[in-house]
Amino acid sequence: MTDSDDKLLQRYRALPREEPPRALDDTILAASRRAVARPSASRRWAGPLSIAAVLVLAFGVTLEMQREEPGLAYKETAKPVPATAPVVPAAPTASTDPLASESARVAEKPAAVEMRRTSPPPRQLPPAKKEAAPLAKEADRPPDAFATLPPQAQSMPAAPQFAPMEKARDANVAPLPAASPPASAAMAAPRAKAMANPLGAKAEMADAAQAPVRTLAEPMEPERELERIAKLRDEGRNAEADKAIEEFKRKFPAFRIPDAMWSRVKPR
Amino acid sequence: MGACDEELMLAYAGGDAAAFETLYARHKGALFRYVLRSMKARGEAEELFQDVWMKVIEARARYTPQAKFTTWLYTIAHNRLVDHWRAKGLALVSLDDEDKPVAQVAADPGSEPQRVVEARQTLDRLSAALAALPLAQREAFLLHHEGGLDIAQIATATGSAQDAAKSRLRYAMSKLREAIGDD
Repeated sequence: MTDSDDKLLQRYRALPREEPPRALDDTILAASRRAVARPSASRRWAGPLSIAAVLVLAFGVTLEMQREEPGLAYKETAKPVPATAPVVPAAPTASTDPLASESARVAEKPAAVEMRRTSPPPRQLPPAKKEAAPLAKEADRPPDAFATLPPQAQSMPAAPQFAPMEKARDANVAPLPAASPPASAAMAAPRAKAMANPLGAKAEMADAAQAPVRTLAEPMEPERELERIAKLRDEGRNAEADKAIEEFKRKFPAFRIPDAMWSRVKPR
Repeated sequence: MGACDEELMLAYAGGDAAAFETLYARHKGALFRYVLRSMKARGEAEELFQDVWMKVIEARARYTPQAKFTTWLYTIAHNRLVDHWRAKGLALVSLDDEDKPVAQVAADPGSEPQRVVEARQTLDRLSAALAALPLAQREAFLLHHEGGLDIAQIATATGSAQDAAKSRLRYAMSKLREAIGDD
């Protein structure tokens, strides 16, 4: 750059330094701020609020539709299984757990049996269903029916025919699904032993718990068998009835046949 | 030392209004003088000056710092000036006119420099000579001395070749020196 250029620039810079008017500055700066200003709160929340409103509306419509079709809702809610359903008779024990008597009451009710049918059966107690009916029948029996129990067994409370499952697990055996009828001498003996020595009788209880499992496979339940024999008598098949009554006495030597029944089944 | 122009423009594009205020404060005077001395009429110059900054605001999201901010800014201003001149039926003076002495242009009654002298009595001879310059030469001069652009940037801003930009600037300087009797 030459000296003459410098002189020219000095003179040029000496010219008035015009500036835009203040009002123009304000106008432009205001426009610049408006351009980058964030949207107002209402506009910022417009989107999320719209989505929330749609969700609430959809939920309400769904509820309304369910209300208009009660059958569907009922079917959905009718399935839950009562907490008492899985309670099943277990090994005979001397326990006086109040739950046991509750279980007996449940077993008395047909509804309870129905519930058990809809609920998944306990994996460890498969034969429970088979025993539910006899137990209910047993509970319906008059009190004098228990008079046939041996004295030791009679001293036991009637309710604890169902052992808590925890005790069955303690015995490290498959829990007993059902107690055989209280008149069963096979069951009464270990139960009485457990009463006498509750701490040391675990192994014996386990053995006793397994015994009914074996007997359950046999259809020889006293009352049922007696009914069968009485039916044979009624049909005039006395030879078979005599043979059956002998068999019955051999299998249930301690069972005291009620007088009314005895008159129907006694040998002729 | 503050942030450079490009950083400020990017910050403004990101929502920082204060960055624009800094940019505006840095360049408003030079740009205003560039526009004012290119147009003569103050009212129109103010309108065009505001329009240029509005273009900057609108184009903030598209701005990429590939060139200096001033080059980008004066390119916008140049384009607006061209639009304005076209609307007025004027065209950028070709280099063919550059041989015409400034004094002769000023002496021509009714010519642009004469009207400038009448309208802006405060301007001295330099100002009159500047106003009498052909548009392309005057613009090259103003971009160089007001906007701080070098030859390459002038060429970029005006969309011309560097040689042309260099020649225009040289002619403008020569005529202005002659006008002030410094030649």
